[in-house]
Amino acid sequence: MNLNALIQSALSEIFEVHSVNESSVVTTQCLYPSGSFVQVTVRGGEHTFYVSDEGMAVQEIESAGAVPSSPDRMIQPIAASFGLLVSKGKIMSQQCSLSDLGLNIALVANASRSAAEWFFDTLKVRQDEKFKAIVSHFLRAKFHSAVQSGVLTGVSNKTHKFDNIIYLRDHRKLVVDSVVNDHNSISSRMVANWDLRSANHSGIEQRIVYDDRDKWKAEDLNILSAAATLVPYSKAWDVLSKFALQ
Amino acid sequence: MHGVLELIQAVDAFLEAPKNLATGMGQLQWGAARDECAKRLKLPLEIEGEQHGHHLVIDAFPNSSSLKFCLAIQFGEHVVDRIDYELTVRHANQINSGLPQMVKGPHWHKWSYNRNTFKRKDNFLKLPNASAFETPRQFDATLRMFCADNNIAIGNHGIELPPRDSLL
Repeated sequence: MNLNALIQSALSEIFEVHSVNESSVVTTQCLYPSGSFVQVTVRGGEHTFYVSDEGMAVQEIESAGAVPSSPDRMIQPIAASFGLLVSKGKIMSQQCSLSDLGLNIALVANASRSAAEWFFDTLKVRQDEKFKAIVSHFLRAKFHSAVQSGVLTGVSNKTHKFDNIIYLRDHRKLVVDSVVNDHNSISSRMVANWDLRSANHSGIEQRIVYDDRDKWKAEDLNILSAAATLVPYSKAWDVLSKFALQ
Repeated sequence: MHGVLELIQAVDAFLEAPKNLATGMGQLQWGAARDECAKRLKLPLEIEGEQHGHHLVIDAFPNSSSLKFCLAIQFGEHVVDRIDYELTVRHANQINSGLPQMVKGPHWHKWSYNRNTFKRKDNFLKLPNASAFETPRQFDATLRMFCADNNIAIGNHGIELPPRDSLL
């Protein structure tokens, strides 16, 4: 067997074509960000064909947890730059002839990969929920079952829910709240922590961990510091570790 | 790299902790997915009776010509561990992953293969490394294996893939 035949054989092992219902699925040489090979679906007859990624570019980012709000609008410029169409999250070729089929398979595969890469580069995790979850799990990793959520009563006699109450030795409690640079987040945690602090419960320490990757206004940090001692997230591990030793 | 280490530690601690599925008392309802061919079931995960916004997500493709589904652990918004069950797919691993360079068919994007593969915590995780299944499995066996590996107790879970709802 000559080299060309060997290469052809090796490629056909991976880049195969198989039938699904009334269409054919082609495994291409493009890779999505997750490492999956891009597959495109070909429909048509003897003379005219259509190629589609069947929405796999959008599914790539959805598999990572994102929920793109209007995927068609997002990927339309990418598809258009390859001369392709978008509908219901699918990147599609226009009708093509047999002589253009190979080209259209390559175009759809590359557009689909580009769209998936664009999603991964562009879409971001929402920081508020993520930050709250990260602080919670960071504390559970540090203090294990000593961390519990619960309600505490402030000087106003109103009860406030706190996600992270750490039960320390000598019956002391460390209340760790998290806040992001957002008016609602600041207001709600400010009120709860200020009310609790004003009650002067013995044996309760309070800390507010803020996300110091954001650009905070000094006045917002000042307001929060009136309610509890502030800890920047970048130093939370070191600062709160001291409580684990007490 | 800021915050990446904390995210890794948080996910490590979360996956190691014993967890339960919060399936509720009624019959489980599959919801519609964006893809009209798919259906989705999203179940909260509990640690010591508390839910912190993390989920087991199951995507089903009932009209697929062969068994196809996806199981995922969603930590906040990040999917951190996922099985892609599809017979005809191909997956390429990173060169330095220590895994076979290519995987055919159903594969598992384990957290342990991917926990050091990202540099920003606010991007969704690509989970670029995966291992193959040694033997093909049915849905229930795959779900039990996935949950056991991630310390999720499921018992008599009552989760079944939705039936086919079209002829083609």
